This record gives sequence, structure tokens and C-alpha cells, in this order.
Amino acid sequence: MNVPGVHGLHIRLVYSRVCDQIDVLLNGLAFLSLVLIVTALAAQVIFRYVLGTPLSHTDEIAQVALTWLTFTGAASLYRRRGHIEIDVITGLLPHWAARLVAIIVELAVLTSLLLVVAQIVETKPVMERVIYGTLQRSKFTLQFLPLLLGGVATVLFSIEALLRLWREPFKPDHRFQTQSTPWN
Amino acid sequence: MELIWLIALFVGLLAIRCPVAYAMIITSFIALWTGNLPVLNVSLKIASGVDSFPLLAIPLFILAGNLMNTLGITERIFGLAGALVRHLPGGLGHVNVLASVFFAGMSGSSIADAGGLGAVEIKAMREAGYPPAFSAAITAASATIGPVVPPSIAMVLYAFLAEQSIAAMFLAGIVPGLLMAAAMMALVYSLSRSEAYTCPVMPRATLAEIASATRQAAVPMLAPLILVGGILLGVFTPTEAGVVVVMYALVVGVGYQRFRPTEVMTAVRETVRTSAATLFIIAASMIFGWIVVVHRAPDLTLAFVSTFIESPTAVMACIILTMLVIGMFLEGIPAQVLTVPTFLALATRFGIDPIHMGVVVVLTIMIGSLTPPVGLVLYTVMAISKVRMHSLVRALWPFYLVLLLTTLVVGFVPSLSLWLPGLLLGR
Repeated sequence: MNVPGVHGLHIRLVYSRVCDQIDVLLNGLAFLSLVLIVTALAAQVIFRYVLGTPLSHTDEIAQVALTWLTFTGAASLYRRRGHIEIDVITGLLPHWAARLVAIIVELAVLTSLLLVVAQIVETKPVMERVIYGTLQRSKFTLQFLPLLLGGVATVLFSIEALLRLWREPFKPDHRFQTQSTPWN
Repeated sequence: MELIWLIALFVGLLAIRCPVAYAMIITSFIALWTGNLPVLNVSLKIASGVDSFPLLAIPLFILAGNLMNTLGITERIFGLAGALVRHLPGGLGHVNVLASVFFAGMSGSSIADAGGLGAVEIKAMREAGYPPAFSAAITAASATIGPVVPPSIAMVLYAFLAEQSIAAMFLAGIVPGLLMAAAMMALVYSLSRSEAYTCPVMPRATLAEIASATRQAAVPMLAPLILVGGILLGVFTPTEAGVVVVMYALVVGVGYQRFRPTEVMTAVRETVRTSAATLFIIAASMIFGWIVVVHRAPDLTLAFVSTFIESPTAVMACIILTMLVIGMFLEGIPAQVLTVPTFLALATRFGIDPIHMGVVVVLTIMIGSLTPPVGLVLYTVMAISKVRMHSLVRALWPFYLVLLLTTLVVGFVPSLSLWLPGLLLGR
């Protein structure tokens, strides 16, 4: 029996679950990046000033971790409405208008992030040459990789938000409604 | 003309609740298309936007503040401040300000002050019978001392944007920060004398109480000395100073038997959130700032201002006024990103020291963080105190005036900012 809407709801739930998992992964990466920054710099301070034998590469490792922290953390924050935004004006709008501007914002973000991702793919040969100081080249030292991951994730989260805006009653915090991730 | 359209687009996106960083990216793409500029720049500039060693200080100082709150250091600082000044007319109002000065020497964030120390301060003031609006107002106002006294995330960002020495910026903030504190304590004194608020009189602490509070807080109070001393003596860089404070807080927390892994994890998660939001704006601002410069915004502003202003004093007044207005509608980081390149051009043309200007910019941003409609410190304190906005803003009015007066004094007397960097760094 074909029940209208049920199939679509199921697909949206599955999609949200996938987004939950991506979110958990991004959170984990951002968390580890911060731990890595503290560990690398603390090790450097201890080895240089206490033991008198400076370590090599710790500054570059911390810088790589900073890039990962920024772009993986930013993507997750996008889903949780954690970025700095001004809600004074949209708070005054009727629901239909607030929904409309929310859709416009999501579409604008989606388009711009798709362009960023497309540019990264297009310029991969150039961007692969950008490395961190004396660090050995690897996937994790590629400067564009966290931005690429974060960009793709933000696109997916934006699609999730658009599906919610399209099919569900409007809520101002439409981007994130599950309880399954560790930051709640 | 195109620049005005782009700024209008950016402001329009902000108005419809587009996150600031994404508004910068979207505006930049449109600017590149309409201006026939190479579109490839966007991802390159964003990807390399946070590839900077000094920027590592930002998550570290945020983490330091969060750890201070988690590991029980905040309560000890408040206890010491209480023992020292609670007997003065205005009682816990003075304690609130002094505790913020102590906390400012270890944390670089006004939100960490308002959200962590602020909760302790408001609870103590309420229990002592202080009016809720006054308690919330003094807590919000005193939290703005945090980013002026070193270490300071706002100053790290300014130094990064303006290519100035972080150490010089840190030193330049010390006297203005103490001036802010003195002005606020004078205000609390006069408010308590005028009977505008009921300020219960607290008993003077005995010598034994002062000695006990000092003992309790002695170890955390060494942190600012280690930090500033270490930077000045060239022992470590400002970024390494951040990690030193983090390690110090962890060691002190273990020593005080307040180290609870779940709470520390929460502090780290909170730091990840705040840092990612801050750093992503900086990354996005790399392309947005480039667009602004390509459209000659600093040059055009300079040419415009030069037509009717000739003195550095008038330029400083313009900068303060502009930042006060922008600060009402924008959070501190995007406000700095948008204005610092233009202000630097003005400073160079009119002979204003960039370090001095940086201190003024940070001071005005702090006033902005207290003003609606966009004021992060204001909202943080509202959330903690449960005081409604109109009551809080009404109670904050005298503090706005005092902070403005302090900003004007610092703005028009450069030696207040430049004396210490000159003395210790030979600037």
C-alpha cells in the first residue's frame, strides 16, 4: 500500500541519520585537532625550555591541526547554528516570511559551498603544492583537505536543512533536531 | 559604487540571519563575478586563511579561560578579591571588578569571564541582597576588562590583521585595562553613595581571612606574572604562553583536586565550538578583506576623510564613533576584520601609532559587546542572571558612559597605551 508522504519521511530520516554520523565524525576530528594543538605545543615548550632539546615539526603540526579544527568544526557548527549570526530582524518576521528567508540563506550557502568544493577539485594540482613548512607531504598536511571535507559536509547539512524547511512545520532552528550527537 | 552594493549585500545577508562567515564568502563570490576578478582565489584564500602560528593563541587562550572556570580557579580568585575590597562602599560591586581584573590576567575572553566568573559573582551578589539588575550590569561591564588586559584574543586578532607585535599589543592594554577597572570602581562607589541601589555593607576581612584567601589564590595568581614575564623576557612566544597557561591551569586543577575528566572534556568541547566559529570568520575574512582592498575601500575612505578632517584627534574621534556604531550591529571579530585595514590606512596617513589604535579598537569593541541588538557579553549575562534586557540595559547606562569616557581618555592620550611598550620593548 502506498501511503503518501511516508516514503519521503523515511528517506529524510535516513538522510538525517547519515548527517548525524558525519557530524559525529567532524566533532571528533575537531576535538582531536585541539588536543593535538595543545599536545604539540606543550611538548615543544617542555622539551625546549625544560629539557633543553627542542623538537622539530611541532609548530607545523599545530598549524595543520588548527586548519583541521577550523574547517571541520565550522561545518559541524553550521548544522547546530553555532556560527555568529544576527536573528533580531528575522525574529520579527511572520513564520512564512522567516521560512522564505531561511530557504534563501540555505540556498545561498549551498551554492557558495558547492562552488568552493568545485574550485578545490579543479585546482587540486595547484593546492597540493601548498604545504606546511618542513613537514612531509601527506593527505593530512594538504591545506585544502579539511576545507574540502568541511565544504562537502556543509553542503549535505544545508540540503538536510532545506528538506526540513520544505516538508516540516517551520522552526527558527531548523538545522538540527536530533539528540544523538555528543555536543548536546 | 560597486563597493557600496557589495557592502549592502553583505549587510542584507546578515540581516536575514546568514552566518557572518558565510555572508563573507557569498558576497566575495558575487564580487569576483561582477568585478571580472579571478574566481579561483576564494578557496585558495580560505584554505590558507588560518595557516598562521600566532593564530594558534586563539584556541589556547579560550581553553585557558574555560579551564579556569572548570577547575575551581575562578572561585579562589573571587575569594581573594572579596577579602581585599568587600568592605568598601559598594562592597561586592568592587569585588566583582577586581576579580575580573585578576581573571583577565589569565584568560583572553570576555565571554569566559561573563559566563564563568560571572556566574559566581552574580550568585554571591544576589545572596548578599544586591539588586539583580545591578549585579548583572556590573558583571557584564567588568567582563569587558578581560580582552583589554593581557592575554587577549581580540588583541591577538588585531595584531594578526595589522601585522603588529602581539607582545606590544598585550603591554599596551595593561594601563587602559587598569584605568577601566578604576573608573568602574569609582562608579560603583558613587552609585552606592547616591543610594541608587541597595548595596549591603560587608564586614572588613580580618588579616587572617586575607592571608587565607591569598594562600588559596596564590598559585593561580602567578599565572599572569609567568605569562607576561615569559613573553617579555623572550622565554616564550605569545602563542607558547597560551599553552603554558593551559598547562598551568591543568596542574593547578590537579593540585586542588578539582580535575574531573568529564568537566575538562566539556571545557575542551566548548573551546572547539568557540574557536571554530572565530577562526572560520578569520578564514572567510581573508577573501572578503582582499575584495575590500581590491575595491580600494581603504584608499577611498582615506580620500573621503582627508577632505574634511586634518588632525589625528579628529580621525581618532571618527574611529571611535565608527566602531561604536559598528559594534552595536556586529560581533567583535567581523567588526575588526571589516574595519582594521581601513583604519590602518588612516592611522598611517595621520601619524597614529597602530598599537595605540589597536587598543582603542578593542576598547570600542568591548562597549559594542554590551550593547543591543548584537552584544555577546550582554546576552551571556542575561542568560546567567535571568535579568531581562530592558532592565539590564537600563542598569548598564552609567557603565556605558564610564566605558565611553575611558575610551575617549585612552584615545586622546596615546601615552596611556604606548608608555609600557616603549618602556619594556623600546618601541
